[in-house]
Amino acid sequence: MEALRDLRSTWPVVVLKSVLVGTFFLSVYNLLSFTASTDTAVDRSLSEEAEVDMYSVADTLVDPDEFWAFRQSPDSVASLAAFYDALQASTTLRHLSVFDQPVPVVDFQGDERFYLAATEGGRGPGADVRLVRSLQMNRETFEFYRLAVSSGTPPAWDDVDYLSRRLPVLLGSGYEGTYQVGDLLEADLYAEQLTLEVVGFLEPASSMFYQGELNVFLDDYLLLPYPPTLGDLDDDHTFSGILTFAMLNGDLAVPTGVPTDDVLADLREISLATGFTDYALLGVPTYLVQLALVRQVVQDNLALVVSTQIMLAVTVVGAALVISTYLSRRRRRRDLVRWTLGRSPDELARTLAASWGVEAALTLTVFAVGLSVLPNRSEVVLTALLLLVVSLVLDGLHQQLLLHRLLAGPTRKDAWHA
Amino acid sequence: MSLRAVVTVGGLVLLLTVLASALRVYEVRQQAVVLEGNRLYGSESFLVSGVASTVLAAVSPSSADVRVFTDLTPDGRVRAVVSSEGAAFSIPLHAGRTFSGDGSAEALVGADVPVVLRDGRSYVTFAGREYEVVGLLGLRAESLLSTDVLVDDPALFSDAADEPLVVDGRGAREAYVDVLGDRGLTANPPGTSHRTDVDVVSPLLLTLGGSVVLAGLAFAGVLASSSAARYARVARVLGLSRARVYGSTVVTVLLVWAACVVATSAVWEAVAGGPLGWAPRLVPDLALQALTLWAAFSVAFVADRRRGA
Repeated sequence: MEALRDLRSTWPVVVLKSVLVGTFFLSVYNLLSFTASTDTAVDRSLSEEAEVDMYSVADTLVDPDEFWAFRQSPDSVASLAAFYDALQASTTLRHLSVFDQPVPVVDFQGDERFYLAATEGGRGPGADVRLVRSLQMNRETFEFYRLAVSSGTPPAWDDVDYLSRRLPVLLGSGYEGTYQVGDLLEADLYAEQLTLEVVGFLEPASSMFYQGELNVFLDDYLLLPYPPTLGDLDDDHTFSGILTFAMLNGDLAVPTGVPTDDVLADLREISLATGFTDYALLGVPTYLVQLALVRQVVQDNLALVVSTQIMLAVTVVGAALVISTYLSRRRRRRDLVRWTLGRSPDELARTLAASWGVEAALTLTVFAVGLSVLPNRSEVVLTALLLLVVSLVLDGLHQQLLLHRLLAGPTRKDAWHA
Repeated sequence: MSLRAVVTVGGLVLLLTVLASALRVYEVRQQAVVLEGNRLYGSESFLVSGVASTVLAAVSPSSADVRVFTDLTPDGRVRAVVSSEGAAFSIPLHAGRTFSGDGSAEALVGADVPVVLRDGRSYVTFAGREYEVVGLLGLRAESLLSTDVLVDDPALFSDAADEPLVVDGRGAREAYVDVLGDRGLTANPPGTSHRTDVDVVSPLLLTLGGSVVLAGLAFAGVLASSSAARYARVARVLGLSRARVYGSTVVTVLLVWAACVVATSAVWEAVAGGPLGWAPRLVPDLALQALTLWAAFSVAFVADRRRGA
């Protein structure tokens, strides 16, 4: 067949062109995948909704004797519990209660990136206990940082009941493979034995702002939910007392534009109503600063990739045009001879289309092979493939146009070549 | 080669060398942005407890840009860094220059760090010693590094007792494990790059872009050869051997390529405001480009003889 003969002499250049175009569209896929990844990152934790004024709230009972005395008084603890519950009920102040108490877990299966140290636990000698890195948080925190599960379900926040001594927990994505949804862990928290049930795994690279650092990633953490209210913990003052204090500590997210005086006034009102006064409020301006700067870095990453990709596109289009012109010149003499011998323009066009078909198949093969090697983001593969097909079609049409121009009027040079 | 062929090949080679140098500029810039988002630690960095000089001696033969950090203050804002001779990495700076590596007491600070001005130069003091501020950290004045201080002074590292170190560099981790084992080695907590897949996308862009450059140069070689071969067929009549034509065309093509490389480098240096000379893998890259161009040309030229008239 004529197309085969044509390919026999032009195949190195056809292969080069396929590699060039196929590789270029792999880079387009790469760019699209990166754009999707950046959009997700910004939406999840760096969006405009995350722009709030951040304050930190803590108790002021730093003296151990004061602390102990406070916890012994049921009225005092009740006032703190009421303070906490009133904070949760506030509509302007979002109380992001979070604390990173390591949780001693018995017979822990994970490796050393998940725990701080091994200890002798309260379960007696010989018990293998690890201080597992953990974050305890309330529902407001979970929702504010847009934390979500990649498998399993989020904890049923309203059903979290510390009295039952059985709690649902989420594990960071780093735990996948070590534990499964449904597994149980035995833990000691604040001298109470608890059973923790794994209900889900967090999405990879879940992050939150904690203790002044925006890039705190939860992949290697155990996430323990707080109860919805403190009002009905039991009478065991040790556990409930410590838990109540732990739950007060955290951040307050306030919409920007609300003056600090208003925040202080709101807290004072709650304090007067509940009788709890040993709290302190601290402004945390570094949150907004870091948010803007981290977002800038992520966007700069993308801007650099996009601008380089544009240069790549210009080069590939230029090179592909030169190659197409070269190929059409190579075919010129053969086409003229065939035309002189009586072949119709349609037959010549068909031969050209057949060669183009081989080219297109090769390019698609290069693209497919590349895709199989690269990590896959299925939602953008189709877009990249579509762009590739469009470019192949345009190229085919361009080639046909060059043939048409040739048949419209051969030049003196063609006579010379013949 | 006819003038027209020289112009076409030259234009194509120019386009490709512009792309190649753009990729190099991209690599340097992207590394600076990534380092800024990760507190100057790359994605291959790791934590280890050891003696900096031992670690460097073990790792630097296999890793060209290895560097070792240690925290000098508990919050990690003031750090010391030491690297082997000639190692360079793309520290994000918006003013000044990086360390000269000549042993003088130098420091890089963020824009919000208080400095002492004297005789037109800035100084910071740490542990009783004064360091000259030679550059400002961060791609802009307001950056995640604006309160950081980085000091170039090997004396701040302990030379006998183990201390916590952060080791960073291409291939540093494998080299370390090969020589010193992996006991006590832990991953560095990830920074901003962990939020996206930039650590995968960026090297991939460089590889794919590099492949495009090579494929394009191979075609440029074929293009040059088709013009040269046509000329060779005719030139036989004048007594010029194919070898002569081959030789003169190869020289022309490589000269054109070299001119393009020099021109684009000069333009980028003027535009980007800094030398690209240290860009990683510059020499192997250029060698590979020249080799591809020459090989494609030669193969096509030889194959053309067999094709005949």
